[in-house]
Formats: sequence, structure tokens, C-alpha cells
Amino acid sequence: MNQQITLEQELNKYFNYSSFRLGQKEIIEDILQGKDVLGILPTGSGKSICYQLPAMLLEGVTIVVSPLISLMIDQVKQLKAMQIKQVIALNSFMDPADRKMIYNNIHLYKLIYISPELLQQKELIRLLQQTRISLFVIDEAHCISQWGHEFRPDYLKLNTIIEKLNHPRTLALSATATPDVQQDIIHSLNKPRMVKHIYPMDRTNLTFCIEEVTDEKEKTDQLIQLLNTYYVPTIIYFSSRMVSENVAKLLSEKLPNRNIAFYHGGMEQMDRITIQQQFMNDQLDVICCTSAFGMGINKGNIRFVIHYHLPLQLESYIQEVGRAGRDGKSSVCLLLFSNNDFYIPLNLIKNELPSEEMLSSIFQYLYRLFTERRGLPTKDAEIENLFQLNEIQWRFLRYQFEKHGMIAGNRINFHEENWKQNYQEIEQLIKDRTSIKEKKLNEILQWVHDKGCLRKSLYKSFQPFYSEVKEKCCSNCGFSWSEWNPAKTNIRLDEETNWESKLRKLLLVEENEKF
Amino acid sequence: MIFHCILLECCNQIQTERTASSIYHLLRGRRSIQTVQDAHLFKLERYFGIYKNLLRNHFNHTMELLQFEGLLKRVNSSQMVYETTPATADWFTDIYKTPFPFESFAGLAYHEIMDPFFDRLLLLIQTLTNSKMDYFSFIPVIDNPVIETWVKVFYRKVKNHEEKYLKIIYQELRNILQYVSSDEAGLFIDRLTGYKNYGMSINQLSSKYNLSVDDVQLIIVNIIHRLLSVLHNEKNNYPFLAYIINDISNATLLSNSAFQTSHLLGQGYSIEKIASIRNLKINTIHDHLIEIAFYETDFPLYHYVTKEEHQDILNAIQKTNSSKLRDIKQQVNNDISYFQIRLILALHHKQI
Repeated sequence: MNQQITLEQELNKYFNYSSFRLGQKEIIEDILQGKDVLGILPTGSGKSICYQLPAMLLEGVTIVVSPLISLMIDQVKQLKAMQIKQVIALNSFMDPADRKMIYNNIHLYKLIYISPELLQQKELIRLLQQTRISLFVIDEAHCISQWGHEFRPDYLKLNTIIEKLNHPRTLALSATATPDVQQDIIHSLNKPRMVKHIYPMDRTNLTFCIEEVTDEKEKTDQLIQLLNTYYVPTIIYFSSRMVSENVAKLLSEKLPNRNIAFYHGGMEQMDRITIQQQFMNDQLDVICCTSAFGMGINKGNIRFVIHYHLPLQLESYIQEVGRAGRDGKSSVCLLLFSNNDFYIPLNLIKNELPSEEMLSSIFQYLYRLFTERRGLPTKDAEIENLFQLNEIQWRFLRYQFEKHGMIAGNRINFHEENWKQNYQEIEQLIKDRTSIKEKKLNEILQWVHDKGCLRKSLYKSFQPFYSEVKEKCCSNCGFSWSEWNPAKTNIRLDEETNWESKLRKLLLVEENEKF
Repeated sequence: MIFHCILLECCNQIQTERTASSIYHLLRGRRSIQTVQDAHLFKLERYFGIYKNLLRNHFNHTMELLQFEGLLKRVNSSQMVYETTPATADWFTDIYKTPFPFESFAGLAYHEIMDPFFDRLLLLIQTLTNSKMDYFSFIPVIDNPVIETWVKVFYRKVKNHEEKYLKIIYQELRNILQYVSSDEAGLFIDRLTGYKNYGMSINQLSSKYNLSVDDVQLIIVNIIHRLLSVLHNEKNNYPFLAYIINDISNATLLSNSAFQTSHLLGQGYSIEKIASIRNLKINTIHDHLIEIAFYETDFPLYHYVTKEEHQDILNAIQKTNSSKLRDIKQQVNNDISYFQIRLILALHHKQI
């Protein structure tokens, strides 16, 4: 009993929440007792508290491995905004001098976010070996699994790192992991005695709606009509940066009473922060974005999540719609689908891994470097530019070359027989991974065309049960727009004034102030 | 239009003497001696570093667009070399009727201090307004530890006097913004972030003011340059704004790497020795030397060339009336290296 009171008080002290949400407390209690834990919690349920609170309570340092740098940076910013300052995000894009300074003071931090590729660094591992690690967290743990939708090769090496760090207690977290993937995580980490905390991901306050349209025009018409009816905070997801910009522009023209902007990974850092915060702050109420938006966004009153393009798999769909209605109020998830949409994700899948031609020209390039007694260029961007590879493609290849011993650091080790075999293995791997992705795409297509309850078919591969919903369940269970009447949210439309009064208002200077 | 105009003006000055890449590097403010020299040589100092995040693809695409509109002619199919056309002159006459103060750009003078100035101002305003409202859970718009540290130190000094300082900022900004048009002042203020009031992104400004994304960024830079120039001349009228850049306005112009080389030179190490200590190519150290020669007032030139060689190179520069290295090399004694020519060229342009 005593401990119970303490945990809730601690939660309140550090994070200003009065009570735990589903699953958090159970996971935290197990961690504090020194157990290894696998936690599957739905998006938006406050997964991060599961390690942030223990990090504050345990002596020593908590390490969080996270696959996305932007996500780490967001988390650190939010923690700092909550006055938790002993946090830092380490990644390979940092200035080496800055990183060095942090390394020298590593014991001063309670919570350190690290990108998986940085954990390959010997210097960092040595440093961590001398540091007291109280908890090792693997965020987005489904990245460990080849069957997961976001496989990250670096994650496969985490088991050896945990070993090198002398087996600190370990927490693996994910929002989207099918039973197969859960098994993969436990197996890959080599921790068969992990305690599993699996919570259902279905959300009863979400209504699922699929509308088939014939073309783009019909999609935008439908958007205009709906946004004219529902004045609520809305996210519209796109697969393409350019389309997100274009539609945002069109909607702004047609809907002068709404505040609409776009957001994607190609924007300058300052503009990304600005747009994100405008949305949090209700200065914006409609965001047209790619999947880059939303991670780490903690806004309770998002009422409407629209997919303009088909997502690549059900996992990301569940994650993205999971941002709606976190305050528990009724919210709608609409997917606009036209038969042409099939080709966009198919192309995206193709571009995720290097093509056969790329593979063969890179092998030739490596061979040439070897014969000229040169090493790999130190800058990844150089190779990426040379072969027109994207970052993900090159990361994949680099890992494969390392794994097969073809390169070690920047040195190239040539061995004719082995290289031939390696080539075939990598080629096969690309084929396999592509076919997994295509399978995932097929799953979501099947879901789109399912005639039965969309809620049921959406969740069935992730969990054995789901809660049935009587009203506003989905478009196949008879949902009609007239049933949905969410309260209008206040939209700030700034009136235009002259610049001097604008400046006065910004700087909070009284109108009748004399100087 | 502003962006296009600047590109055309650069082409007009450079013509076929350099490839278009030189313009790209100039606008991005590349810290190479070649780019700085070109800025002087073609009298384009004011555009140095005014568009630091210009992307290569976008630049190439815009050059092609200008070519398509008949304002540029590509003279070489394998290299990006352009010259202006008769249509360019007419276009200029038209465009200069719209009043935009191109001549107020001062890139070479301000490219270093413009970002710290604006970033410090932005974060300071965000911090002071939020702190005044006792709201400490805001996400800083500037994500740069160096700027953050500066603002933190400043904030500690003025804590609990937020209102007083906000009034001072208001007064000074209101006065200094009289130097720009009211539209420009409005755009500048729309970019600023206060308490629960995040500033507009470049794209939002672009649609609000009906300007291209390029032009919005260039206008902001232009405004900042004008403000910096006012601050330079009337420091005493704007004590607070002047304070923001007090510690950076006199910083060395040398790049960090050249600065390290300069330090080692000062300790008496040879070029070869420095190259091996720093694990850099000799060529790189040569680049540093040229940079140092360009910026430092008492560079020991005759350590690197004899008086005769110096004269020989100067003669060749006059004779060829060109700054192409190969042309000059052909006119001088065989023993004279490219490095020596570049060194003399650098000093030559410094005097112009």
C-alpha cells in the first residue's frame, strides 16, 4: 500500500499527472522490481511514462534506444519543458565536439536517448560500461523483427550490446506488434523470461470510415465538404510531400475560415517546430502532412484523422489513427480510397530497398576502391549521392556489407568467392523483404475491401479480442455522417492590424503605456 | 522576382568567366577563398551568403527556368555556363521600377552575424514573453545549443524584470523598423514568436504576402541586413539590440579550420608539418594560407614567393586581364606554382 501511494505521488511530482493510465503502473512496478519487461501498449497511451518515471526513481542512468532522431529530440524538448533537465538525445548527426562534451559528463544525466547506429561506437560502449546503467529501454521494439513493418538492422545487434553492458534490466516497448513480432523481440533479445504486458489496442471512441472515390478531384471535393461541416482539429495524411503541399494550398483557398498548413520532413527545422506548435496551440486546425508528423505529438482533442492516400500497412494506419480522440471523445478516422491508389505504395516499397542494378554497381564500386587501395568515403552522403541512394537504402547496404565482413569501418576486405555468395544472399534478402512488404500492402487492401465490420478486421491480427461498439462503429456497420456532431473548437483567426500594434501585442506591452 | 533578379544580376556580372556553380556557392556563402575572391572580383560582395539554405536542385531548376524564359543563354552544353541576352536588359529596366533595395544587402559584411542576431532575438522574445506570463512549458523555436546558452545567460540577468525589458525591445524595434516599409515590418513581426503565439513559417508567409518562398527568405535577410547596418551606425540609439551582437560583431572572419592552421603557423611550423599534424592534404593547408593572406593585415607574403616571382605573376595578371588560373600559369615562369598564383591573386583582389 505504501509503495502505491509513493508511485502516484512520484508521478505527480515529476510529470504532473494525477493517476496512471492503463498498463503504466503494472509495467513500472515490474521494472522497479528488477524484471525484464515486454510492453505492448496502444499509441497514445503514454508509453514513454513507463521508462521516464523509473528513470527518475532509479539510481544511475536510463538508456533509451529509439529509431527516429526527430522523435528523440521531440521527447527531450517535452521533458525539458516539464522542467526535467537531466535528459539528452545522442545521435550521429551531432557535432563531434558537442558529443565529446556530453560524454565527459555522462554521469550527470538520468535519461539518455541514443540512436541504434551510435550504439555501435566502441568509444560510447566503453564509456557506458563504466557507467551505472539502471535500465535499458528499446522503444519501437518491433523494429527488431524482420516481419515488422519498420525493420531496422541495427536493432538486431542490441542483444550483444545488452550483454556488453552486463545485462541491465531491459524494457522493450511497442504499440504495434503482432504475436509473431512479440515472439521475435523476445527471441532476438535472448530474454525468454521477459514478463509480457500486452494491452489491447482497439479504441472504442474511434469510428472507422472508408469511402471509395473515382479520382483526385472527388477526394478534394469530399475534403472541402467535410472540413466545411466539421470545425474540429484535423490531421490529413499523405504519402507524398508534394501532394500534401498542393492539397494544403487548395484547401486554404477554398476554406478561408480554416487555418490550414502542411508539414513534412523536407522542411527547415525551425518551420517544423513552428507548425507543430501552432497546431498544439490551436493557431492551426488542419494539418496536411506525411507520416513525419504526429510522433511525439500529445494533443488530446484531435477529432478527425483523414488518410488521403493508402498507408503501406495496417500497423502504420493503426498508429496514425491512434492520434485521434486521445481525450476519449468520439472521433472519426476516414480513409479515402480510389483504385489508382494501389500504385503509390507499390512504388514506395520498391524505393525502400536498393534495386538490383544499384546493388551490382555498388559491388563494382567497392571492388574498384579495393584495387585502388582506397577505403570507403567517410561521409555517407558522398556514397548516397554517387549512386542516388536514399539514406535508408544505404543504411541497409552498409549493414549487410558489415555483416558479411566485406567492410570493417572504412576498410574493404575483398574475397572473390565470398563476395559472389554475399551478392546472392543480399539480392535474395531484398527480394524477401520486398515480398513481405507487398504482403503487408495486400493485407491493408483486403481490409479496405472487407465487407464486414472494419473494427473487427482491423484488429484481428493483433489481438484475439476487441470491444464491440454499438453506435458509430464503422462505415460497414451503418455509420452515417449525420450521427456525428462533435462540438466546434474555437479557431483563432487573427484580425489584421498595423504592424506597430501587432508588435505591441506580441511583446505584451499595454496599449496605453507611455514612454 | 527578387531571387530571379539576383541570379540575373550575378550572371550579368560573371557572364562566361565562371560556371553557374560559383553563383550557387556565392549565395550559400561558401567559405572558400575562391568564392570570397569571386565576390570581390565581380563586385557581388553584397550577395555573399544571403541564401544559405538554397538547395542545389532548386538552384539548377531556377537557372533552367530563366533560360527557358529567354533571359539567359547557355553557352556550353557540358558545363553550366550562362550569359545574359538582350532580353535581360529590358527585363532589368522593368524590374527596377518595383522598389526593392537590392543595394542594402551586405552579405559579406553580415553573413556571419546575421543568424546569431536573429536567432538570439527570436528566442529572447519567446523566452521573455513566456516568462512574463509565468509559462515555462514552451517549446523553443530555435534549436541550437549555442543560442540557447546565450539566451539562458542573458535571461538570468534580467529575470523578474521581463516587463521592463519587453518594453525596451518594443521601443527599439518600433523605432528601428521605421527604416523598412510597413509591409516589410509586418512580415518581420509575423515571423516572431511570443507567448502562446507561434510565428509564421516561411510557407505561411509566402501565401499570406503572395510572394515566392525564395523571396520571403531573401526579404527577411534584407531586412536583417538593413537593421544591422542601422545598428552599426547608430549603436547608441539602440543599446539593447546592439548588445545582442556586441560579442560577435568583431569576430575573426577566418573559418575554424584556417584559424587552427594560422595558430600553428604562428608557432613556426612549416606547411608540410602542419599538414601532417592536422592529417590534412597540403592543398588544404594552401587554401588556408590564401584565406589567411586575404583576411590578415600583416601576412608574410615573401615567405612563400620571391619578389621576382611576385612581379612576374602581377605582370601576367595584367597581360591576360583574366583571373583564370590556367591563363596566368601559361604566362609565368615554369617554376611558379598554382598556389603562388592563387596567393598573389588573393592579395591583388584584396587591394582592389
